[in-house]
Amino acid sequence: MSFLSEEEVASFRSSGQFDEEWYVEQYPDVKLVGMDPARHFLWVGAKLGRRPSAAAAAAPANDRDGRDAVQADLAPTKRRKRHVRTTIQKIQAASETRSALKVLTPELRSKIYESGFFDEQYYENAHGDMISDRNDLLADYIRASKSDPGRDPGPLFSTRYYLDTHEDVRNIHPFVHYVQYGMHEGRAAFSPEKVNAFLEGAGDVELDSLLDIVPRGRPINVLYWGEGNFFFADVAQYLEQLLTEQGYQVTVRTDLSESAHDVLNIVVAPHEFCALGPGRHWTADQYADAVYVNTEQWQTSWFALSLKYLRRTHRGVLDLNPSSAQGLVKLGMRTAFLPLLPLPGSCFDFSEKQPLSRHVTWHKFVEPLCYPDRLEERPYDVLCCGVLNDRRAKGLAAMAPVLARHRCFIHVPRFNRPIKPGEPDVLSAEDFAQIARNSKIMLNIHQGESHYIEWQRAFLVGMMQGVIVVSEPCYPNRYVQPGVHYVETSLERMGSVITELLTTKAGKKKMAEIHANIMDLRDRIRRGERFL
Amino acid sequence: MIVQDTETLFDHGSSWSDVCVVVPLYNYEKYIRQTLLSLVAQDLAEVSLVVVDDCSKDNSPVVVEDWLKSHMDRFGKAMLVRNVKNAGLSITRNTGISIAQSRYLFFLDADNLIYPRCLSRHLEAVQRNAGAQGAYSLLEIFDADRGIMGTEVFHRGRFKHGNHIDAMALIRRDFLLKMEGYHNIQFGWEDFDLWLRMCEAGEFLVQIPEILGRYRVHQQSMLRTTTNVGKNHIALRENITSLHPWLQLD
Repeated sequence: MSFLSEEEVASFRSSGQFDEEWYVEQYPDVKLVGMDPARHFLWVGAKLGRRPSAAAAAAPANDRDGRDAVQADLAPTKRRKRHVRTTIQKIQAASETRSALKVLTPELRSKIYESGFFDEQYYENAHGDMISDRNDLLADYIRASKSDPGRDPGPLFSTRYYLDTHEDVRNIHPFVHYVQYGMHEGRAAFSPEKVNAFLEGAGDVELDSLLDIVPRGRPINVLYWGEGNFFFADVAQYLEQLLTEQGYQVTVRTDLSESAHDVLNIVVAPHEFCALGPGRHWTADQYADAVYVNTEQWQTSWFALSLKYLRRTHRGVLDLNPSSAQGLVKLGMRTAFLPLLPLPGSCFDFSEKQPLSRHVTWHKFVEPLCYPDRLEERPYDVLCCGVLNDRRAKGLAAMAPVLARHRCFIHVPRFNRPIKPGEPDVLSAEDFAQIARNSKIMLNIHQGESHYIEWQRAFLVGMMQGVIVVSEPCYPNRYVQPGVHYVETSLERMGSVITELLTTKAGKKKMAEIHANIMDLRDRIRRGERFL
Repeated sequence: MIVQDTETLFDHGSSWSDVCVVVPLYNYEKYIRQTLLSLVAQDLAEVSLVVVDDCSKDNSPVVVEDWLKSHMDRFGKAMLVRNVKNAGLSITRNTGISIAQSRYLFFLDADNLIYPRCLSRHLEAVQRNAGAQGAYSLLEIFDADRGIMGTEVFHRGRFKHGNHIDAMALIRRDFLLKMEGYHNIQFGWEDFDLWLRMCEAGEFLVQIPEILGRYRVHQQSMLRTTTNVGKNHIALRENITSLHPWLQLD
């Protein structure tokens, strides 16, 4: 009851919808309680099904709008009643909003706004008519989403997805849980559908330049966690080479025992270095002064964990994926694309012919790799490499009749168990690239509903090896385009596109064109093009 | 190797080719014609065939005999035999192994299918990988379910997580004889048991990274999976781990 303000009670009293005298006479207990009758009605009377006036009582209690047509003579009464009901609903909603306000302490509010996940404009646009408290949209969201998990606070956090994914989140509002705990625990909070919509809409966003984000004149530490994913060590070394080439003074390190003020730290994969590695002991100033390299896809818990570090930097973020970089800019962060390119001599330069690892040739029947100059002479027609899940399995099964006609290298282990590098079913990037250089077509089937172009796979091991990547539609980016650098098609049509490319004159011509384009791009990179 | 006495229902030709397809048959009159037709379409020129009927209660052997009469020319050697009494899958396959005189045997169940390049690619794989006792490919799952299987390579560590390789494989016959064929394992998993014994002998199959066969999943087996397989599954696991103690199944 204390949540109803004097103004609300007064406004109801003077609305013409409440007959105080009639109400007190009708419900004698109101007098006994000693409460203001209008306040009583709003607090409990309406919930008990009591009427605010004789006129309202004259209308049937359970009428429905649909009956209006056949009971036209009662219409004025009903309209009045509906009006009363709407007013009551509004006031009750306001009262619940106040209960939401109780949860929303000033500390929590500032945490939420700091998180950036509550976007007033988004909320207003998405839920327009349903909003009952426009003065406090956050409270309105917290209140309304309790009974309607379809309401989201912004373009990324999904209330329903969070509830569905984390079964332990029950006695606390999911969004409050995320901001207070989930975000720091690295819990997945963005549904693939929302990520998809968000990044799809980021195609026109202008990116910052790496050269702007990484200022000149200061020595640079490129940091990664020594006990983590070995890929991040490669990224760190690559970044060292790229920056050194651009005239920076760079050292790669896995510790930070003697951090100096004049050194700029670039952290590769903050979800490892800062969350698990030496970065755990950093000060707020150190977090703010570092540049971060995001390596993770948005729908993963790793990304969620990274995000809290990405938000802290005053300098900016580098992202291995162009679409992800655009998304971060859209979230308000200075972000540049860090393109992994086949820099000569770098760990991503697979131009040297190397025999395949022994475990590959031992366990698998492999064609002799002959590295022909001409695309059509490559021994493999189709290469497909990725971790199998149900989506990919069904997609591949659907195109099996086509694949069965061609010489394929299909490496799709179903890793539903922990995997260590060196296991017979793990194909190294080097081996993958050697096979790509001996393949005509490489398939890119998305793992889920997110439409990332998987840069390492599709660009580095794919296009840069001269193989024609046939991919499901990807978010657009300005570096490689469908029809020019690769072929885009739906998963349903992939089989017939393969047939067309491999067996028709027009298809072979298309492959030759794309092959020439990607070889040209590779040559430009060799000559110094860096996408910066 | 335990085999069953048989009677010969059909016998054509005299020259065993390098590859013989061994088809154990039991109550699959509905599917067997389509299965055999997928052999006709093979791009491997010379193929032999042995069908071993395990006393089907339906018309399976008649269907095969009729089919063979009109398609025998495709095979240098083709035989249809019938076990004198029902013997189960392992012994039926062993009977096929003992009858077929080819150097390499390809096991094809009577409800599965193979793509036209299947046998030639298997032969190539096994001829070019001298260390391997046989070869298998990825399989397309079809009919009541859809997917891909056989996606991981043959290695000891992987088998600890269960069997991932179907019996549809090409294997050297002399090796099978040395291994005494398939052992009769209660409730099935005789192929898994063979792979495990191969691991123990330090042998392996090479994986062909192509989709060359089609593995049928029946509506009934889908239903069974969710209902009464549980008890058998526990018994199977206990049985297989007692036979191969190094295998600590997850």
